Amino acid sequence: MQRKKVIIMAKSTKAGKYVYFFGGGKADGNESMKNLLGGKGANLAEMAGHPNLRLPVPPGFTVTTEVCTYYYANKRTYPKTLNGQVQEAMAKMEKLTGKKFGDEKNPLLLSVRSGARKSMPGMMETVLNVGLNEKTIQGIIAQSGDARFAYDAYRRLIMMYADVVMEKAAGIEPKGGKGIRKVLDEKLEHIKHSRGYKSDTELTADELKDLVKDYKKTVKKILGKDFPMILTNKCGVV
Amino acid sequence: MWGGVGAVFASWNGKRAIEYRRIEKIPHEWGTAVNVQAMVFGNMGDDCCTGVAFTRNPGNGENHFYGEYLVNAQGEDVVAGIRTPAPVNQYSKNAQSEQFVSLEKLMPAQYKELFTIQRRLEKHYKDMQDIEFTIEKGKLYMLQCRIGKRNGVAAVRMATEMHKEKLIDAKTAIMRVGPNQLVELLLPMLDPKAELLAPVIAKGLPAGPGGAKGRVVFSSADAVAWAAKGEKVILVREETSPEDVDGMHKAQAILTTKGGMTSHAALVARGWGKCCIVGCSDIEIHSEAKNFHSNNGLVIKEGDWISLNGTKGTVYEGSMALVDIDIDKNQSYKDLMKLVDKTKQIGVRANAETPRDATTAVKFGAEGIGLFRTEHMFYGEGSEAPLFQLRKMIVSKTEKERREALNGLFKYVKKDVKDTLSVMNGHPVTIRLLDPPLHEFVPHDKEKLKQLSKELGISMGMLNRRVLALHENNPMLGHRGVRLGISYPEITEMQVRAIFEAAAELNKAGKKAFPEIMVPVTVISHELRHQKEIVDRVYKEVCEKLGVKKIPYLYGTMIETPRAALRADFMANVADFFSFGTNDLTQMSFGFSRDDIGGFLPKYLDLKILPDDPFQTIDQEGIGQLIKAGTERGRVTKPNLKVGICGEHGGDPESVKFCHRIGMNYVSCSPFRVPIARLAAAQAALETPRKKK
Repeated sequence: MQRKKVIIMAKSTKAGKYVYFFGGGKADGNESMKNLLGGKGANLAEMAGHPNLRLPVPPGFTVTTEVCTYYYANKRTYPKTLNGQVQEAMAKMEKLTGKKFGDEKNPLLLSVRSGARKSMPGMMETVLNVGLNEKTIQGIIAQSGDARFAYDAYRRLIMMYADVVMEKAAGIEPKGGKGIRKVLDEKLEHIKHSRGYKSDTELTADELKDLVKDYKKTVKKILGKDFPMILTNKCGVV
Repeated sequence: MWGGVGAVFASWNGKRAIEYRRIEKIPHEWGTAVNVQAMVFGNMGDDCCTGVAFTRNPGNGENHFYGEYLVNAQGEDVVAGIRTPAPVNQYSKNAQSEQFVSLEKLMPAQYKELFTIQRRLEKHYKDMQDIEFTIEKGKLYMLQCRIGKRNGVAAVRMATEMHKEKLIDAKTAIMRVGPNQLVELLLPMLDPKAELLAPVIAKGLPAGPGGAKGRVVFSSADAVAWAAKGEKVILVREETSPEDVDGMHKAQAILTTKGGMTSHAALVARGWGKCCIVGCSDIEIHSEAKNFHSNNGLVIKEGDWISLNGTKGTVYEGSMALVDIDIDKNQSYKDLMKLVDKTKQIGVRANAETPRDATTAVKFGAEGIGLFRTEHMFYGEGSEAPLFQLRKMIVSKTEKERREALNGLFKYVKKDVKDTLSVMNGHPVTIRLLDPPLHEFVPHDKEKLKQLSKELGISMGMLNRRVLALHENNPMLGHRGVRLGISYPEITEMQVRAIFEAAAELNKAGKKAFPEIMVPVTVISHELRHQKEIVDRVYKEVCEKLGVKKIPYLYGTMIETPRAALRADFMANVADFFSFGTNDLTQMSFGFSRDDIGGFLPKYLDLKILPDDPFQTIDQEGIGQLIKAGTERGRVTKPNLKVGICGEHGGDPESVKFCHRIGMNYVSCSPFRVPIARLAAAQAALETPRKKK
C-alpha cells in the first residue's frame, strides 16, 4: 500500500509543480484546485488572480497537498525540486513587496498557515511574523517607528514558533501536560497582573522587550534549544 | 520558514486534528497544503485593524453584511475571543458590542471598499462568503475567503433568497441545503409560555438556534463522561478551543462567557446545528468551585439544570419544557419546499397511526401513510380497553372464545382505522395487519393476570398454562405476522372487516378513503393467497351489508424476509404493492438482532469492518441488492407494481436517494423526517434524474 503511494507520487513529481504563486493581480492556481492547494490556497489564488476579482491580497505562495503526502510517504522529507520552486516564489514576493527576507533594513515577514481541502477551524498550526530576529527587528522598528509593535510581533513569533515548531512538531511531550505556550502565556499574564493592565495593548515597548528576553531564556531552559537566530530559507534547515 | 512548513505538515497528524477529521468524516489521506504569505499587520497602531465578516448573516440568513473587527490586533485575536470584537456596521451590533464604534464610522473609506469587495465576492462565488481582512495603516488587505458555514435556518433562507435574486438557479438552491440541516428548522424550542414566566438569568449572543436543556458541566472531559452515562449536559466555558470539540459534540448545547459570533464555539456549533450561546458576560465561571454566578447573585452548580434559548441568547434556571415549532410560519422553508416538490420524482409518506400523527404528517407534506401499525392501539394512553379484549383473545382456547373476544375488539380497530383514514382523506393509508408475537401483550404482573382470569372465568392455573404455552425461544422469528393470520384466520377477518367497513362508511359520507391492506412477514406467495381468500370474502360481505358496489383498496405485502425478496416475482402474482420493511430485512439478512447490536456494532464501526450502522442507513451493497432484485422481479410479473419502503431508513437521506435510484414509488418515514426525505428525494432527482414516462 505504502509502496504504491510512493509510485503514484513519483508520477506526479513529473508534473513537478509544488509551489503555486499568487499576488500582483496574478495567480498560478484558482478556486477549482482545492484538492491540490487546499481550500485557503485555492481561494487566495482566486481572489488574487481571477480577472473579475484581483483583490488586494498580500503576495504569497501555496505549497501543495502533494508535498504533504510525499512528506509522510518519504520519512518526513521533501521532494528535491521543492526548494528551487520556493526560492523562485520568494524572489517574486520580495520584488512585489520591495522587501527582503532576512534583510536588516527592510525585512520581509511571513505568515505560514495550513490549509486543508475542507476548513478545519483552529485545528491546525499557524506561525506568524516569520523572519523576525534580533537584527531584522531593528528594521521593523525603524520602518514602523513603533518599537512596541515590533516587540509585540516578536514575542508572538517566539510563542507560536516554540509551541508549534520546537515543541509540537518535534514531538516533545510537555512536562506535567503544561505546554510551552501555556508557560509563556502565564508570563505575559503575570506582567499584566503586576502592572494592573487589563489588555495586552497596555504593555509598553520596554516591557515587551524584557518579555522577549525572558521568553528566549525560558524556551532554551524548557526545550533545551535556542530560538533560532539565523534565518535561512534553505530547505530542511531551520 | 521551513520549520513552519514542516510544523504545518506535522500538525496534520496531531491528536486534535485527527479527532476533528473523525467527527467531520474528512479522510486522513487528503493531507494539507501550506500557505506562505507576506505579513500584513492589523496591530501596527490605531489606524490598523483586523476582522472577520460574512456576506450574509450566518445565524439567520438575512441578506446583510455582517462582521466583527478589532482595532490594533492580529487576526487570531478575533477568533480566539480574547477581546470582545466591535461590529463592522450598525447591523452587526449586539448587546455586547453596542457601545463600540463600528468600522463603518471609524474608517468609512475602507469600510466602503470592503463592502464593495464582499458584494463582488458573493456575486463571483454565488454563495455566502466568510472573509478575513486586515487594514494596515489605512490600507485594506483580503486574507481569506471561503464558503461560510451556516446553520439550517440560515441555509434555507439564503438558498431561497439567492434563488429569488436570480443569483442561483432552482437546482442549486435545492442542492445547497443539507437534508439533515432541515432538522434545525423543526427543532424544538423552549416552551414560550414557560419562557415568559421564567426570569432570564443571563443573556448572551445567539450563536446556534433552537432550545436546549441540560445539566451544567464545566469541562469537555466532564461533558463526555456525563453524556456516556446518559446525562443531558450543557457545556459552560469561558471560551472553547479545538481541544473541547469532543465535549462540545456530546453536549446538548454550549454556553460561553467570552467571544463573539465568530468565535470558535459559535463557528463549531453553527456547523453542527447545535444550540449555542456565546459572549454571555452576565455570568462568571468559578471553575475550581465548579459553579457560575449570575449578575443577580444566583449560583448555579455543576449538575444543576439550565435551559437555553439559542435563538434569542437567553439563559434560564431549571429544566424547561421543549415544544415543537410551527414550520408553516417560515416563508423560506415554504419556498424551498415548493421547489423541492416540483423536482422530486418519488413520493414521501409517513409512518403514523393516530389522527394526531397523521395531521402532523400532512403538515410536513406527507402524501399518504406508508405504515399504519394496527397494534399501536394496544400501547399507551387509552389502550386499556382494547388491550383487555386482545388479551382475552390471546389466551382463548377455542375458536368460539376467540371470536367472542375479537368481536369485542372489532369496534376499537374500526374506530382507529376510520379516524386516520378520515384525516388522510383521499391519500392512501397502508394498514399493516397485526404483526408482533402475541405473548408480547400478555401481562406479567400478578394483579393483571388475576383480573384476566376473573373476567375470563378461568382459574389462575389454567391461565398460567395458556400463557406458558405462548412462550417462544426466539419470538422475532416466531409466531408473528402472517403466521398469526394463518393460524387464526378470524384475526385477519376481524381486521379486514374493520378496514372495509370504515372505508365504506367514509366513502358513503362523501369522504375518500383509500386503504392498502398489508400482510407482514411473508415468505411465500401461498401465504398471501390464503389471506387473500379471507379478504375477498369479507369484501363481498361488507359491500352487501353496507349496500355499496365497491370499496377502493389495494392488497399487498411487506417484504421483510430475504426469501420474500428473492421470490418477489411470485409474491407479485398476488400482491398489488410491496413495502420493504428494511428494519426486519436488515435484521434477518445480517442475522443481527437490532436490540442487541450494542454489544458488537460499535467495534465493527470503529474498526471500519462495517462503514455504517446498517439500521441507520441502508446497506446498499447487501440489503440494497435484495431490495433492488425484489423490486425488479416483482415488476417483471406486474409492471405497475407499487413499491415503497417503510423502515426507519425512509427518513435517512442516503437511503432515500437509493430508493429513488432503484425506481421505488415512495418512501415512508416518521412524520418529523418527512421534510428531510422530500429534500433528499429532490436532490436525488437532480443527481440522477429518472426518465419521464
